[in-house]
Amino acid sequence: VTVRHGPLLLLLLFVFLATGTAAQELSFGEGGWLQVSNLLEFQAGRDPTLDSDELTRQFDQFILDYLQGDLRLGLRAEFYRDSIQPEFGDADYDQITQKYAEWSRPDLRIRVGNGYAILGRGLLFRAFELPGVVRDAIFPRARYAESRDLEGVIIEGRRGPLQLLALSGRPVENPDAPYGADEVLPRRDGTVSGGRLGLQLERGIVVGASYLRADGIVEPGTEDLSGVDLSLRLDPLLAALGAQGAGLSFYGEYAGRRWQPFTDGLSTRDGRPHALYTATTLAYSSWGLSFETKRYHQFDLRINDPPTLVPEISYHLLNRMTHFLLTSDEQGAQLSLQGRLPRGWTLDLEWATARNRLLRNGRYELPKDYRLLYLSLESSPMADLQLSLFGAIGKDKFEGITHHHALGLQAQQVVRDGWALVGEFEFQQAERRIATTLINEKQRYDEIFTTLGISLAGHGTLAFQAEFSNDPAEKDDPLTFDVVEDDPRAWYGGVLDLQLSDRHRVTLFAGDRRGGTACTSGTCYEVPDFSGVELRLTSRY
Amino acid sequence: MRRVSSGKHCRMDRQPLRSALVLALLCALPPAFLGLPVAAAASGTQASRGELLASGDALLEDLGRAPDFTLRTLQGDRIRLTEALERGPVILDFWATWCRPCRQALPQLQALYERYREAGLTVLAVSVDDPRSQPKIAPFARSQELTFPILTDGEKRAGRLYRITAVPTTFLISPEGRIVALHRGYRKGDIMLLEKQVRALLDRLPTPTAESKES
Repeated sequence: VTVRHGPLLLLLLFVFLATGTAAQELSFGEGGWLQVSNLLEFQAGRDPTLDSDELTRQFDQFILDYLQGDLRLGLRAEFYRDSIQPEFGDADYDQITQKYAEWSRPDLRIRVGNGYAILGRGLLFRAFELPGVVRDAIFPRARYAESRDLEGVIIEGRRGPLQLLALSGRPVENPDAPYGADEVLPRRDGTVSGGRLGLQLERGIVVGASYLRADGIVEPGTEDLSGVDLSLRLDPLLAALGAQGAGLSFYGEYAGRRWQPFTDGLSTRDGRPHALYTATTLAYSSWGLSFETKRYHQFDLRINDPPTLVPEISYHLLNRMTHFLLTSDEQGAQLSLQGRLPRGWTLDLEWATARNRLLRNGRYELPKDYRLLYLSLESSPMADLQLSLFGAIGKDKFEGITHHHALGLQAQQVVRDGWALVGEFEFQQAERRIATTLINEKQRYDEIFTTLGISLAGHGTLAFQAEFSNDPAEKDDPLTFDVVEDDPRAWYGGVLDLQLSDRHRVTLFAGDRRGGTACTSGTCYEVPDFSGVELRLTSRY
Repeated sequence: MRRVSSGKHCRMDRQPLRSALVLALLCALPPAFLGLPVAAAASGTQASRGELLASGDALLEDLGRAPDFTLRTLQGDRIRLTEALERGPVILDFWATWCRPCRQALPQLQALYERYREAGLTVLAVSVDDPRSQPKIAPFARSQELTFPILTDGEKRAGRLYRITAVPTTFLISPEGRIVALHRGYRKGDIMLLEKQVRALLDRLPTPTAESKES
């Protein structure tokens, strides 16, 4: 996919320019048209890995699609430049990172080139992207769009009770993703081929079987990966029991490496690589509940992405206090309960538990537990006021966090004609235990995150944010490599998010950004510290 | 995998990139700002930009064709955008269960839907939750008593067609299949603007007959 061709990309941008200025929509023949979008990012500031105050970086992602009837042709190009001297690792690039052709009807889709697909719930295979997320590689420093595609052929269809998904190709990360970008598990080299066949037995009952032949993981040669799944809708059962209007469904999936279904069964024994996932959902009146379980063992396939069952909380401090799924050995469960309370309050309760075991002397032992209990309440006590409250308590011993609790409040008040004030306050207290042969100590620390902003509907938002932490692990500012600090840290920043027009949006950040974990769309990744100015311009035609 | 370019090579590449970035910035400027003419949009059965602007309502703008798609509801039924548009305007909302602003916006959309359903408004809420988090969609929809169709787009097929890079993103689509308003993000107050846009769009449509209402 890697094409290093500046002039070609320049030509495409000329087309983009022509599209943008001469016609708001570029049409071709009967029913065909071009869609163009662009994401441009510019950063100027300091970098934690470099002894330089004059870092500038530009990243641009350009997406072009041609649509005509059931046909879609597209490509994605990315550019990156920085002011880092080559001796520190030059990562500049300009590449076409994706190209594809897709023909789709309601019951049939054929895609050639870069594409995305998931088998079942992702126990065996998932190729995906995180739209709009621009990530940082640590060394050499570079920015790139998060994408884990399949480069090959994907065919998906339904006919009567049959469902088919077939795929063959090469699992790829964004080719620009520098080494180390996917710190834990890079995609595997080689190719994968296979798919899933589903059969609807009755309305609401679907059974499926998946198979993949993959090569190039750790061991040489190919290996067989396979699984089965079952999906049930049990509403009629509830109706028969007198619970009219209630909804009940179940989904279960089991997958194994080198799995012999008739001799191994649905084995969950240690030493037998497997993944087991179940989900049960129940809905009644204005209440809904889901309960999911997971058991993954020796299942880091580097092409899969099974459900994490770790709640993704969008409140800032809890979003970064997350748990990374370890498919080498993890089991657990998640329960979500949502419903309506009197006086217009809505409730969201999340409970999650997980246990990791580490491999030592050939045995899986040393359990490390993760827990989270999260409760959120929301209401509009007055027509122009939206109020959200949350509280959480948990631990993640794999990360050394023996206890943490957090609470917060967010309020939005409409003041007049689309103008609204937005305020948020979050507080978290945590305890970390560091136990090695030389050190055995407990660290307690507090964190505060607060924002205050004003927004105008349809135009944008201006917000100021401040974050404070006395976490001993973060006292030394990574942005001042040669100075050892020992004071609590503070990060201040401002964000201006402006809708220039319906086609263009600009986001300007100025200040300090705290590094750490961030989670988007169920996927978590590391964000490095940054101090300076960041401009992001998104355009679509 | 990754390609590391030499410094010399990079300097040679720097020039086109700089030009490209300047061009990209120029592209971002509205055509009118550059003093260039804006041509009419597609022909055929689609309404043109000129027709929409002739409605004289500054609340609505022609943002291009709304790509057609077919997605399944939580119950497994298929819904096609063009079929929904036959009944009137469509609010197309992309959301996810893990997105707090989305969760705040959906009950507001439900209220809007209840107010204008009789006038022909349809709301399609497209969940971009990946299949791994889809068990959370139905409980949430039930808890909020959402009655409009919830569509699942775990593989983001519609999401990619509509260039969704953040949620919530909400489109208002005219019965002719043109995107006439776009909202990114949600803040208290956004729904009031959307309601004005819905009203402006409904005002320029012919009053639905009893026959079309039934269909």
